[in-house]
Amino acid sequence: MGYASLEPHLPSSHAPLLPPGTFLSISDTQASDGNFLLHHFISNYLKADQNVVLVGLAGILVHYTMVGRKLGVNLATARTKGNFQFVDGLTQLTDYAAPNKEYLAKPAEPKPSSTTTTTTATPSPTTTTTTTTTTVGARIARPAAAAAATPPAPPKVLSYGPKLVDLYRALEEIIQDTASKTTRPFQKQLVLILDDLSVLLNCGWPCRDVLALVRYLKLLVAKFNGTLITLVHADGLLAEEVSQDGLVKGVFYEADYIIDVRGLDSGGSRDVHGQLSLLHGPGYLLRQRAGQVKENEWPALTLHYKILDNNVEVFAKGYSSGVL
Amino acid sequence: MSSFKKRVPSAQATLPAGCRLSAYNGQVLISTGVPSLDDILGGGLPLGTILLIQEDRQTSYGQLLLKYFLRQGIVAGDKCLVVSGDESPEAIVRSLMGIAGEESLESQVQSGVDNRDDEDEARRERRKKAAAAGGTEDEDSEQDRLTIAWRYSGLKKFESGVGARPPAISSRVNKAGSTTEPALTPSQIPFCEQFDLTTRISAKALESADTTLVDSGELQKAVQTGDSDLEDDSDDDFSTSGSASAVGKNQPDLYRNVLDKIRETLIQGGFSTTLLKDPSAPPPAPGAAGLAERHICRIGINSIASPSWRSKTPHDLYKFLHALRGLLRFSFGAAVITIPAHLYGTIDQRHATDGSTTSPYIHRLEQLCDASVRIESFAGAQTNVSSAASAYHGLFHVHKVPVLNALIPSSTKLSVLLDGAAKGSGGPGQSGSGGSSKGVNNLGFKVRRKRFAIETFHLPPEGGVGQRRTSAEPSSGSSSPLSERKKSSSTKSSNPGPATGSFKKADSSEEGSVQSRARSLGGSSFNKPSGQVDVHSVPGASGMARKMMGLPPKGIQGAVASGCSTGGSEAGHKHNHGGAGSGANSSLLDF
Repeated sequence: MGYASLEPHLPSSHAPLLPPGTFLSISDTQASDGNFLLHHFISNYLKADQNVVLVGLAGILVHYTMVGRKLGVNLATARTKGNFQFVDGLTQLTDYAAPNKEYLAKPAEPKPSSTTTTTTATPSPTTTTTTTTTTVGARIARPAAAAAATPPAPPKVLSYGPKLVDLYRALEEIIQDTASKTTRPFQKQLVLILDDLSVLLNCGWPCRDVLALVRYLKLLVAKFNGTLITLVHADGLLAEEVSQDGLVKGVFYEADYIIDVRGLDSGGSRDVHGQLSLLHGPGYLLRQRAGQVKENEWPALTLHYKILDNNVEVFAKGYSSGVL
Repeated sequence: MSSFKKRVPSAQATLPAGCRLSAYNGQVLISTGVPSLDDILGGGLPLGTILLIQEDRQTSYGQLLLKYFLRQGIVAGDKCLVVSGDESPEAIVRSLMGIAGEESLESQVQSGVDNRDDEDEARRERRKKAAAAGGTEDEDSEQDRLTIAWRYSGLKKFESGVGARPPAISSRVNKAGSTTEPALTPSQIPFCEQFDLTTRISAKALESADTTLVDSGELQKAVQTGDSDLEDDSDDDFSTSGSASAVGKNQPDLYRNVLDKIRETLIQGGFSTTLLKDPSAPPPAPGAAGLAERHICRIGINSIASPSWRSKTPHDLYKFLHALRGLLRFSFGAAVITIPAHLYGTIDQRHATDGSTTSPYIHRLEQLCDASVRIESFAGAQTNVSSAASAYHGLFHVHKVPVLNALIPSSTKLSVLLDGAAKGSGGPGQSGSGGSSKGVNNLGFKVRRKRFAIETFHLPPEGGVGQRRTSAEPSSGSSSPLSERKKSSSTKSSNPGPATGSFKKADSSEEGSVQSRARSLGGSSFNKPSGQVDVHSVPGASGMARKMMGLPPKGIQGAVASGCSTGGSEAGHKHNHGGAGSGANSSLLDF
C-alpha cells in the first residue's frame, strides 16, 4: 500500500485505485516536489496487480525501483511479470540526445536495413547487460545459460521525433502491448503516469501540442480501462510565462482530479513539508452533474504532509506531530 | 539524533578513486572540493547529477567553486572536461589552486605545522582578547573557562561551519620524502583534499591531469562560419550518417556541439555505462572493469548562457540540460555548471535581497538540474548588507538539493549546515511568501586567505569583540566610583561582609554590581552610534533583517556578550552587558 494516511482522502469509489477513465493532474513547485505522490499510485496499482506504464521524462528507472523497494514494491519482478512498463523519456527525448542511439550496444539492429546479419549470427555471450536498447522487434539470440538469469528486458525508449505525435504513437504501442499481455484485457485497470510534463514544454514543444498529447493520452487510456496521471510544475514564479501558464491551466482543464502540492505560505517547518490541495477538476464536475459520481465521493480539501524515509504522513491542517 | 555512520573500509575499496558512498541512500558521491558544499549536498555530489551554480555579480566566487570542483578532480585523477566561452579554459585550468601544505613542504621545512586559516584566525582572536583583557599569554587557557555562567561551559561550542578533517600532513610528508611520483592507491586518495587559495596548481599536477578543454567561443566561431571542421569531431567510424546527425549538421548550434563534445568524451573515456565506443563490438562484461580502476568524468561548464553563448531559442539550453542529464545518469560523471543568472532577472528582481531573485528562465533551468545554489556576494549587492556582516563575503542560497533514489533529499538527513531543513530545498518562496528560509539555516560564505567556506550566517556580536572589550576596560581600571557603588550594592545583600569573604557571597555581590555598573555605563560607553543592527528586533522583523539573522550564537568561545540594545537609554534592560569582573575574564553569556 502506498501512504496509508493519504488513502482516505483519495476518491473512494475504486479505492485504493482511481476510477477508470479519469485523469489526475498533480502540480507541484520546486520547493515541494510532488514526485512522492507518483510513488503512491505506482505502488498502489502494482499491489493491486494492475498494469502500470510509467513514462520517465525526468526520473530514471533506478530511482523508481529504489523508492519502490522502500515502499515495499518490487518493480523488477513487476516488469518481468509484465505488469509494469517503464518508458525511458530521458536519454533520447530531444534531438540533442538523439545521437545517443548510435552508441548503444545493439547486437541486432532494429532498423530494416539489417546489413549486420553477420554480427547477429555470431553469438555474443554478453547480451544480458542491462543496457537500454530499443528491443521492440529485436530478436536476440540469447545463450541458454544466460536466459536462465535473464533480467527484465531493458526499458523502452522514447526517441526523438520532431512532432509529439511520434511520442503518442510510441506510447500507444506500448500501452496496447501491455494491455494485450493480460489474459483478460478489460478486467485489469491500467495507469499511465507521465512523471514530468514540464519537460516536454522545456524541450521546445509548444504548449498547444503538449496539451493535445495529454488529451489524446487521456482518451487512449480511457479505452483501456485506465487512468492518466501527470505531474506538472506550477511554480508561482513561472506564471508570468504564457506557455507555462497555459500548460498548467490547460492540464487542469482536462483533469478530473487535481492535487496541488506546494509549500506552506508561512514558510517551512520541520514537521510540515507542505500542503496538498485536493481539488475537483472540470471533468469531475461534469460527471457529478451527470450523476456519475456519488455525493461526497471526494471532498475537496487541503491537507498538510510530511515526507518520511519510507512513508508520507498526510494530516489535516494543524494536526502535525509538532503541534499535537 | 546521530546520523553519522562510520564508513566501512571494505565498501570503500570497491569504489572509484575519490568517491564515497552516501550514508543515507548508498549513492556514490564525489566531492566538490569544498567540504561545506559537500555537506549541503548531503555528503557530496552524487554521480550522474548536475549542479547549477548561479553566479554572483561583479565577483567570481561562482567560478571559484567550479575551480574547486575541477581541482578535486585532478587530485583524484579524474577526467576533467572544461567548457568555457568567456574565459579560455586553459586559463581556468592554469589558475587552479594548489594543495594546502604541498608548497610549504617543498619550499621550507614546516613539518607538522597546520597553518589553517581557521586556527590562525582563532589564535589571533584569542590573542587580541588576551591583550584587551590586559592578561598575559598564559591566560589563554583561563580564557575559555566560564566562572559566572559556568553552567554554559558544558555546552558544545558554537560552530557555524563544517570542519574539514585535518589534513594528513604526516602522510604527505612521507610522500614528499619519497619519490612523490607514485600515484596513490584509490583508497588513499582523499575524498576532499584541502586546497590553498594562495598557491597555484603545480606544473607537475597540471601535466598529469587528464583534461579536455573545450572553448565554446571557438566552437561558436566554427558554428557561425559553417565550418565543416565539426564533422571531424563527431565520431565518424560508424558511417551511420543517420537522420539525427544529418539534422544536426543542417542546423548547427552551439549547445548541440558542446553536448556532442561531452558525449564524445564520455564515450571515448568509457565513462558511460550504456553508450559504448564501438556498439558493434560485444560490450565488456559488467564486472570486468573493476570499479576501483574506474575514474570519474567531471564536467565543468563556466558561465553557460552568458552573452557569448548565442542560441536561437531559450529552449536550446533546456534541451541541452535535459540531454546532459540523460547522458550523465548512465555515466560515471557529474557536472557543475555556473550561469550568470543575474543577467536574466528583471530589474527589481535582480536587486531584491530576498530569495525571489530567480527569474522564470533560471527557474526552469533549475527544474532540469539536480541541484541548484545561488551565490550572492556583498560586493555586488546594491544594498549595504555588507556593513552589518563584515565577517562574510556574501550569502549562499540553496535552491535545490539532489533527491535521488529516495523520497527525501539525503542532505535533510545528513547536512549539518542545512540542519532543521524541512525540505532540503530552501528555494525561493512563492511570489507571496516573504521568507526564503524554509526552516533552513541562512548560509553565508567567507573567502579566507586560503580557502572558501560556507557557514551558517549569523550577525557578529554588536560592535565586535574588540570594542566590547575596550569599553569594559575602564570599568575595572578606574574603580573609584565603581567601588563605592559596589559597596552600596553589597550592603543591600544580606551579608555585608568584607570583600575577602567567602567566594559565593562575593560572587553574588559581584554579580549585582556588574549589573548596575553595566547599566550605568550604558549611557556613556555603549551609546556609540556605530550603525549596529538591533538584534532584538530581528526575530520579529521581516525582510532583510530576518534574513541576516542566523542562529543566535549558542555559546561563543571566550567572553562575548552579544549586544542586545544599542542604546543605554533602555535602562530597564535586564541583560547584563559584558563587564570584566575582578579577575574574571569572562562575562555573561547572553541569549
